[in-house]
Amino acid sequence: MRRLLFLLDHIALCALVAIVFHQGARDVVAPWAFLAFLALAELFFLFQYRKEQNRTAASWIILLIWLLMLVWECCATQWDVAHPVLIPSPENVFNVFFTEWKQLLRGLYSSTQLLVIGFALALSLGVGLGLLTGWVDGLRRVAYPIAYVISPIPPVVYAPYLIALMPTFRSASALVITLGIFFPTYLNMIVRVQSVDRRIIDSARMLGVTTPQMVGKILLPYVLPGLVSSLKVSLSMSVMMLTFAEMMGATSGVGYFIINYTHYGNYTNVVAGIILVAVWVTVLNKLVNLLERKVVKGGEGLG
Amino acid sequence: MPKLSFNQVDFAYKQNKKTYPALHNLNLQIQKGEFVCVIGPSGSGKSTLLNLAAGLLQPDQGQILLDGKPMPRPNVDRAVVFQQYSLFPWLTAQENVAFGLRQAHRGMSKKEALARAADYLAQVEMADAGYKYPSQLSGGMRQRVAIARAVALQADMMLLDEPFGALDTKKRQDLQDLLEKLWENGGKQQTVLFITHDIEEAALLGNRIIFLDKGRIRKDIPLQLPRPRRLLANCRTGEYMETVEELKSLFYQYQDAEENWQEEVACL
Repeated sequence: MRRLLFLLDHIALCALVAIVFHQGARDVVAPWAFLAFLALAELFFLFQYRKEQNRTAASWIILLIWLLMLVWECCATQWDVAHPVLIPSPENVFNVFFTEWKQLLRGLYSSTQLLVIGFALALSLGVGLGLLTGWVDGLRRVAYPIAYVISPIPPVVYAPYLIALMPTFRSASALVITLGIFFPTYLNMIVRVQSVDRRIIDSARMLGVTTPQMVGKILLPYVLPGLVSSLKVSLSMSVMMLTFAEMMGATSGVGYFIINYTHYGNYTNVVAGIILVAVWVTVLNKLVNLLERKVVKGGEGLG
Repeated sequence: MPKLSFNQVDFAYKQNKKTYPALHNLNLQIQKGEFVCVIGPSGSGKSTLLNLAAGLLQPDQGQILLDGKPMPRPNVDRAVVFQQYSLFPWLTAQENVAFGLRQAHRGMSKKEALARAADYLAQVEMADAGYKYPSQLSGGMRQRVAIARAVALQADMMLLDEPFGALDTKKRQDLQDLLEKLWENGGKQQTVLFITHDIEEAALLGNRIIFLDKGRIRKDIPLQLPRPRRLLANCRTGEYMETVEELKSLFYQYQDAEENWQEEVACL
């Protein structure tokens, strides 16, 4: 069964490659980028296939990818049944990565920079202040209701206003991300401190820890595993906010790349940009996973 | 001057505008070097007593004095071991002990604290497990580490809240012997307040056994027997058996009264 599946994968791949070389109804710029992508995908598949437990799933996934590509390729290039402007051929889409790589890379750099700044700022402020607020009773009673009212405002609602308000676009998008991540993190931390195991708190108190020690040496490591696993959600939220902000009024970044070419009706570049965002977010998530394994010590049984 | 004294102490838990009384007009004097076991049915206020002695709770009425002075804030001069989960799960066994050491001796280098922590771990026969995290240790091993951390503080007073309550019989015996040994090695200078619901345990360890029920001291039994009491020759004396029987009858007498009240307090 698994061998059959493996065989099927490669039949599909061969068919795909053959069809790419076949002169279709629509002309393409150059098939090489698309072929390079196919080769990369196949290599990655074979790499995953080495591990026993991945085999069946990996075979199915790659089969679905090839089938999707086959449908796309046939509809767009071979038979020309799809709208020529709205559904560009895969060859042309992947070729964008070759012709526009400078612009894409610059956009990616600019976006990542904003993302990291906003994210780091929001996280350090949210965690630091959140833990302190959660621990100090009097502070919590004042700050929690305020944050509780502010935090449900969707960042996309105030993003355009902030872009108009701030002197530069970059500061505005950093602020949008910061605010958008800060409030949920802040509230989350306050709530988490309330649910820290009483005995851990009491043990720490009996060891005479000071308030800064309590926040930094007890509460922070206690909430860290939960914090890191919620990082992925905050990350995708900040990507959403950043790309939204970039679509509002940027002159660089991946969001700008996509919206700019949407305005020009160049959907080849738009689809390429969307694929790039998918890869970018996946890489960022992988980095968070790595961080998770590094940071979380002591294993299970942590809040 | 007693090491610790409770003078007409009242304490009640408050939740949702309801009050759950835990201690009533409690008077108790504990001298330096006493090994006091507090025993009683669940909801009798044992743990409340310990938390007050630790300074984690403040009495509603009355006064608690430590060395003749009003109870200060929780600090390293009182070492506490809880039933479970008193270790920090993000630190290894050795780091847990070292954390306590550095709290007790400000300015001690991390390296020195770790080295000394290894010594204390060796005392509780955990020398090989220093690098392990609490999640990798069994319940008994965790309690050994918790005891090592408490001993490392070299506090005058040790407070233990059913430290062996969750362990099986064999491990419980080992740890009782270990605790007794550590206390004797310290020249019996340390004042120990040991909370338990196990009659045998109280009779094996205590120089004085206090039976608590619904926040009142019902019985205060001195028990000066040779140690180790696990040895038959030491414990099969009339006094030991009498104490055990007396505690059993006290449990019989008080346990079932006003069950609802007990359940409510036990929930807290």
